[in-house]
Amino acid sequence: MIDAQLVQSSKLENAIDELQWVFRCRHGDETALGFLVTRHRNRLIRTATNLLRDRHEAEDVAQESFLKAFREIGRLRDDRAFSGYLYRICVRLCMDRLRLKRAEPAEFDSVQQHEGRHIENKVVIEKCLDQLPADLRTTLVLREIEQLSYEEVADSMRVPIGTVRSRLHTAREKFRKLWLEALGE
Amino acid sequence: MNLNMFGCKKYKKLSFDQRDRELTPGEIAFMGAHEERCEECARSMESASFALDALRGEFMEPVPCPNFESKVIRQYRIESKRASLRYWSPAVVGAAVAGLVVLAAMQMIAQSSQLPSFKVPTGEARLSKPAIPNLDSLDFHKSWQ
Repeated sequence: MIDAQLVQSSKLENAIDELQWVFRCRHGDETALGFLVTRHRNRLIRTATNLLRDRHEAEDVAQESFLKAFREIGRLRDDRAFSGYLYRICVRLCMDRLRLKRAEPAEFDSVQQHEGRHIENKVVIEKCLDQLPADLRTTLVLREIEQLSYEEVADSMRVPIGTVRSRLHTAREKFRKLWLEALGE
Repeated sequence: MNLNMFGCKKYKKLSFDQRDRELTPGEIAFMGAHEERCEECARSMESASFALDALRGEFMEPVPCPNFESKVIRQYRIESKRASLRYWSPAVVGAAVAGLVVLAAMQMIAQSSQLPSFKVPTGEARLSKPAIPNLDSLDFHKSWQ
C-alpha cells in the first residue's frame, strides 16, 4: 500500500517536473531542451531502432523528432501531452521512412538462395518485416516488440483501436506466411 | 464444410488473441477440440507462435551515442538562426530596396541643383518684342502739345 503510494507520488513528481521543463522549453530555454532530450531519447531511439532495424537511421529519426517537436511546441495545447506528442512524431517519421524504403525491390529470394535453411532468425525476421506494408509493420512491431497496449498503439499511430486490432491480425497472419515462405516450408 | 471453415477462422482468431489476453475456459476448450480435428490449423498455429516469439526475441535496445543531446541542441540552434533569418529576410530586403531608392532620389536632386547657369532659362530670355506696338511708348502727348 505504502509502496504503491510512493510510486504514485514519484510519478506525480515526474509529471510536474516535466510540465515545468516543457513550459521553459516553450520559451526557448536550452537547459530545458537538454533535459527533455535526456529524458526521452532512450525510448525514442529504441522504438525507432525496432521499427527501422537500423541504429544509425534510428538516431537520425530521433533527432529529427526532437527538432520537429521543439519547432512546433507552440501547437501543443496541453504541456502534459508532450511525451505522447513526441512519440507520435517519432512513429510517423519512422513510417515515412518505411514507406520510402518500400519502393526498393525486396531481396527475399536471394537470402534463401545464399543461406538455405540455416538462415539466422534475425535475417529472416528483417526480411519478413521488409515485406510488410509500413502500417502493418509498425502495428506489429509496436505490439509485439515494444509491447504497447492496443490503446497505446492506436494513440501513437492516430488510428481507432478497431483498426489496430484488424491490422494486427492481418500483420500476424502475413508475417507467419512470410516466415514459412522464408524457411521454404 | 462451412461449419469447419468457420471453426478454422475462429481458431485462427483465438490463436492470435491468446497472445494479447487470457482466453476463457470455453475458448480454450474450443481450441483444444479444433486442434484434434484440424491438423492444418494446429500446424499453422505452431508456426505462427514460433515466428511471433522469434520476432519478440528480436527486441533491440541500443545505447544512444554519448553526444546525442549536444548534437540535437546544436542542430536546434542552427535551425533557430535559419528560421529567424527566413523571418526577417523579406524585411531586410525591403529596407535595402527602399534605401537604394532614397539614395537614388537624393542623388538626382543633388545633380539638378548643380546644373550650369546658362542652361537655366531666365525671365528675360523669354521676353521678345511685342507684335503690337505699345501705345504707351509712342509720344502722342508731345504731338498734341
